Amino acid sequence: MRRKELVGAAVLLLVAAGYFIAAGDINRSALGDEVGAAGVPVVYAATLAGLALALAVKALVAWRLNGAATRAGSAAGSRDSGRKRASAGRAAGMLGIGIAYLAVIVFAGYLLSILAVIALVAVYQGERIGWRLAGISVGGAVLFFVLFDVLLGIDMPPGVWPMFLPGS
Amino acid sequence: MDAVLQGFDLLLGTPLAFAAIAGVAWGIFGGALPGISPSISMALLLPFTYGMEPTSAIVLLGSTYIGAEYGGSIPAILINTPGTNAAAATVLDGYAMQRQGMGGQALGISLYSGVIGGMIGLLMLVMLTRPLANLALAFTPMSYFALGVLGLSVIASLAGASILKGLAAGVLGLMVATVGTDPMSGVPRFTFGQVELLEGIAPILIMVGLFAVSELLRQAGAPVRTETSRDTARIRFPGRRLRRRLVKPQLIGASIGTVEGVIPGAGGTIASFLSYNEARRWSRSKAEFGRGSPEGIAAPETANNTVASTALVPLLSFGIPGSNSAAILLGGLLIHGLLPGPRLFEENADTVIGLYTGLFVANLSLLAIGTLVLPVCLWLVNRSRALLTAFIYALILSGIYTINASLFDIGIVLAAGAAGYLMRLFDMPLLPAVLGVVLGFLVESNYRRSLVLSAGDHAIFLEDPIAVGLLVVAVLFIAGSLGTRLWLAFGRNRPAAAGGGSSA
Repeated sequence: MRRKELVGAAVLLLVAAGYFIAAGDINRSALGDEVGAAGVPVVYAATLAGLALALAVKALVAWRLNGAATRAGSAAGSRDSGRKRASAGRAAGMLGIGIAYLAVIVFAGYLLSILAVIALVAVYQGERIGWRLAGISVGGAVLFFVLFDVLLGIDMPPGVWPMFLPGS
Repeated sequence: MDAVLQGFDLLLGTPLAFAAIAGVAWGIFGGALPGISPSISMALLLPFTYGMEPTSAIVLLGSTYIGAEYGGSIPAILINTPGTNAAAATVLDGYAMQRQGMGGQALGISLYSGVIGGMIGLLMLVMLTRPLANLALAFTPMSYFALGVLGLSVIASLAGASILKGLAAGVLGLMVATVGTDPMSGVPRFTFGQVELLEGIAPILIMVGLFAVSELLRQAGAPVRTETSRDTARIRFPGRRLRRRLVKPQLIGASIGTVEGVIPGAGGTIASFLSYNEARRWSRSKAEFGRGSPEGIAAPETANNTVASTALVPLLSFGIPGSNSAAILLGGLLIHGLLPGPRLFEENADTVIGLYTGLFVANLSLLAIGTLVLPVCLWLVNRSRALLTAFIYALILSGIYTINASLFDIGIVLAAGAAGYLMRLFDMPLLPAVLGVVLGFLVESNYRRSLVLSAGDHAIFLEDPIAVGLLVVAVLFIAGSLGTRLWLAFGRNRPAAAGGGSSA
């Protein structure tokens, strides 16, 4: 628990540092006001860094005060952190499906990519692989295509397939 | 009277009624699915509203909120699982009635009370919004800056368990708001050479990512297992005698819902539990509470449906979203270039009257739609969660693309989703971050404009009476929230508090 708080504070501190460095790269403009384009971002970076440090100090103080209790519960804590790691891994997998969709849609086109998303996410979440899932995935993909491309008139990415059409 | 006639014209001349009914139906489905909150139901619709006529788009979103508040009570009553946070209080007596074979009546009481609450809330919205918005006509850059600070001060009450984490989330949102072209000098900031970032990051992308995608990621990590229901419940509306008994808890719910809705950050969940407790305190049948009391359903359901309308008061008057759902509605307004405040009432009076009319139709149609879609809700509640998650993910990935036909936008939504997941992991609240994104531009641009006017003298903020008033309110708001926290912390350390609070 305390380690989670410390990791969270460290992540916030890293974000503040990265943002501060990027704010240093902002160009100065002759049209700029007294505060400047980088003025407010620098204040935000300092504020976030201050809050991150405060969170870290709070976690450390709590750790020192409840050290004995924390050590006693360490076995249960390690089981819990193992569960949380597994849970974060599964969430990363779900995010990975979204990133993969972004990577392949340009080549595979919308219809095939969204079909793959429906099937993959369902299997990933425990749905059994079979004809039923295949039917639902194809039906869902066609439904989305009709809704967005045909009815709403949005040109969803066609992929490389039009290249193989005669006359293209 | 003119406004009423104009509203009637709008109703007949545009697809307003269709938007209201569709929104209510979508909201009921969303609310009925545990894990899909009203704000997520609304966020999923946001991309579709992009190509719609503005009034219909706003009505669609507002009606979804109304529908979702009732929808949340369906699984609360039938399977002991609240579909929304605000429906948690309904579980106590709703499920007890269901176990006694009175599930249909419990649903009827919930629906009937929801409509009453929605209508009262709408009345309060119409009465309160315009006078408050007129105040903003006299606003200077200093006042707008102070208004932004007041909006950000809401973080104090939204921060959850740790105010430090709430503030950090707010600052993260403010940082996102600085991406794009600088409002004063036109210099690009944090764009890293990406043309797509020059116009900044649209709040809608952050909202969909933080609320909807991060929730899907959370559910992927800890799959939700819910009970199923073999019930074929039919709604039974209360008879005359029961209706008379429900008047008192409904009045309690509507009063608390009005106050809690107008205060940014309070929200429907607090209103529901407060109403439940007050209804029990004022009831002649206190012992029945928790064992299937109709009053125990009427009070919270009236309260959360009242909040669905009154939460729009600070949003429409000043552009301060006091809840997740109000933030999504603000996203809908911004998509169509509609800025809340007095100008909205002057320049887009049609839209405001259309919104009121649409919400009236939505509340009225809730009775019919709620009855009609119950079998579909029961079917949905019993579907495989894996398939539902797959379709929702596909809907998000497809819907976001339709906004600007941009794959880059999908990347931003996924990144915001990952950030939202990490924030949930570290117990950081999401709404302060959204407030930061939404209010960041208002705060920074008006702060710097004010300093240009005063040649860098910060005393200008103390010379503008409206700015001073708003800043004082912000300080009081923060002090009140901190005081409440201290009081609760002090109370928690007391040995076994007296009184019987309900164990939800």
